[in-house]
Amino acid sequence: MTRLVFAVLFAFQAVLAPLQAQTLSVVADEWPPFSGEALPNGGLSLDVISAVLRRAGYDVDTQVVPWARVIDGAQTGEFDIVGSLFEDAELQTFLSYSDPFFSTDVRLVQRKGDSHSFTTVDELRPFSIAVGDGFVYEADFDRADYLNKVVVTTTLQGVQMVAHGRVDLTLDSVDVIRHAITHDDPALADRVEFAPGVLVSQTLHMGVRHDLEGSTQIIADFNRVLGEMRDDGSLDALLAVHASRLIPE
Amino acid sequence: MIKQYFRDQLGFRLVLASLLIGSLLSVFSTGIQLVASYNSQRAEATGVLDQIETTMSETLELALWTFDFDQVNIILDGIASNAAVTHLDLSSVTGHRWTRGVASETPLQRIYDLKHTPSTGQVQHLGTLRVELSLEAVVDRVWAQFWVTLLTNLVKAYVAAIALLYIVHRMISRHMHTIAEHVDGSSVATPSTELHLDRATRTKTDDLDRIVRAVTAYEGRVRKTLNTLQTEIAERVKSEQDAREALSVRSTFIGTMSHEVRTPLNSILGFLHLIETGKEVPERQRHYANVASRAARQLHNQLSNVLDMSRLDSNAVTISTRPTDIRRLAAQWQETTAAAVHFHQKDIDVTLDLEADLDAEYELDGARLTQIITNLTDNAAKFTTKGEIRIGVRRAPKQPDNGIGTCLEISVADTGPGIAEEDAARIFDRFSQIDEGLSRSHGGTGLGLAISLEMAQLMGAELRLASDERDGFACEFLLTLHCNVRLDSDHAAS
Repeated sequence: MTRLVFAVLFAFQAVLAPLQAQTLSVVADEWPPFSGEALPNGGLSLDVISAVLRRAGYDVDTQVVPWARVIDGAQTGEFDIVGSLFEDAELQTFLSYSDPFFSTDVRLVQRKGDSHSFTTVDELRPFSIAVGDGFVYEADFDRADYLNKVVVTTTLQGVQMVAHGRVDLTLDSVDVIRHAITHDDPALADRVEFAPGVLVSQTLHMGVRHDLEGSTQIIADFNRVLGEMRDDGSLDALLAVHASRLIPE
Repeated sequence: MIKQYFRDQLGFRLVLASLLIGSLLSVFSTGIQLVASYNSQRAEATGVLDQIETTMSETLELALWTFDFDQVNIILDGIASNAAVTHLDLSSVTGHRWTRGVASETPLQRIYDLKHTPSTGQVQHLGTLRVELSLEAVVDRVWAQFWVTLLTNLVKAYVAAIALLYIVHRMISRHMHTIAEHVDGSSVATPSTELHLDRATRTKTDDLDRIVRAVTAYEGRVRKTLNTLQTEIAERVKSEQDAREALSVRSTFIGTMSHEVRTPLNSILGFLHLIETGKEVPERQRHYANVASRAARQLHNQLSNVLDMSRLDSNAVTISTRPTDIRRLAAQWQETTAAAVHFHQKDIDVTLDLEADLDAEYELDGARLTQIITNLTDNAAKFTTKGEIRIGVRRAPKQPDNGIGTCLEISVADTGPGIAEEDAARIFDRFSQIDEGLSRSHGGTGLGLAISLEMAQLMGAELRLASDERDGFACEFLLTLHCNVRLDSDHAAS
């Protein structure tokens, strides 16, 4: 009798398991306004990714952790999906990228009054440039080991170093730089400015680790639903939530 | 059992002394340890400043230079976590400032100049970090360590003292108590049991073994000595009893013999006196009777002395006082002395020196006093060849302090040969004759002065030989006698 009860319970469990929704762990680093612990719904990226995936029928669990742990967790299988990604070939060796859901310009920041000018990455050789540890900016710039790069932890640090003359330049998404100045150190606005020109226009993506079971399906579901939301205007409505954080130049 | 240990006063005092010394040493050693500990901890605390410079300043400089304020906070929190650090103040040239703790007036502080040194270019000043230390935590730890160490040492000292008390009691005090009880309980009459201590037998003897041997040996010697003394005492008691019996027999014999001899001797003297005074006695026989009479009288005197000495030895002499006219008595002494001088056929003046203001009568035993004075005057008559014998009666220079009665001083002085100083000490001894030649020529038993002395003592008087010559007299005996005065009114009433 006891054996019969256990057999029935086991069969019931086996039938119900595939019907349960898959919970995806989505992670991003502290990179406001795209992602951040204190931002509404975890920031623009995590909010869009979560909304799209949930609409696709997935359960989502979001976290904000340091960038180094983001990369390590995605490679070891601790996290399933990484949000807030620029295009990067190295990341794509273990992450499958989704379609972009936002675009932003990457620009250099200089002290107010300076007149640095460049048209190629190589022309940045004379300058000291503060860069985020492990940050992805642009392929040629990221590969340019000959540049005098000073590694910092946050974008704000880079901007402060520029403002106090410790480095000549720094760079990041204009949205990130404006958010940092506005929310963390408004006094910097009088001391720094964007250098002329745009280094690159980057798009934001979601990356799913290759070895995650059903990763292709997840990408496909995400792209499909993202298109639907873009078409029905719900994506714009979602981005509007974060509009206050996206300070125009 | 424990109470027994604490009742052991010797052990208890020893333990108290040990405890006192142990406590003092504990405090002293604890103090030394803590001074060393304080210096070590102070060096360790101040070493934090060096540690900051060597291990943290570079990281802090990099964090400041890169505006990595999270890292700055982590580093400052790390420094501030050290108990010795009381205050941190970091000021950067960019206007940022961090503080930890509360500033205080402490001499232990260090200011670090934080700077960035790029591979190329000039050194950039980043800011200053001031770190203040306090030794309060060190002092608190040292005090805590002091009390712990002190209490530990005291507990050790107390435990050691109690252990010492037990050991002292077991090894020494209880055995000393046993020895004391043995000595207290030992008696000469009953032989004591052998002294034995309740302790294991050892091949090598110690002080307790030596004490036991000494006590045992001493007991043996004492017992032997006491036995000897008891034997001697018994022998002496027996000898004394024998002597008393012999003396009693001798006294009885002498008394009896004296009486038996004196009775016929008195008859002889009476008949010799009849012959001497008889009218029809031829001169030749009268002379023989006179010689025989003198010999018989001398024999009579000797017998009287022997009888008196015998009576003195057997306490048969009693003193009975009665009112006596001292002047008349002194006149009798003068007459008796003059008769003795005449008897000895010597040309000697016998004088009487009476003090003028003597009372009429004194309470005294005239017969015994006369016997004493007669002995003295007889001696004077015997040994003086020419000159004078003076009898003096006067008030003594020293009278009774209480004013009751009078002290009379009666003296017998002569111009005889005197008494040598070396003989003065034995003239009152029995059978003592200073000059054997004179004794043989004048006769005598040597008992007169001895009888006089004992008789005087029996009367409460003092008889002595004057120490110096006075008024040309070579020898002078002084008798000092205390007696009550018979007042004239008493005499009249009676």
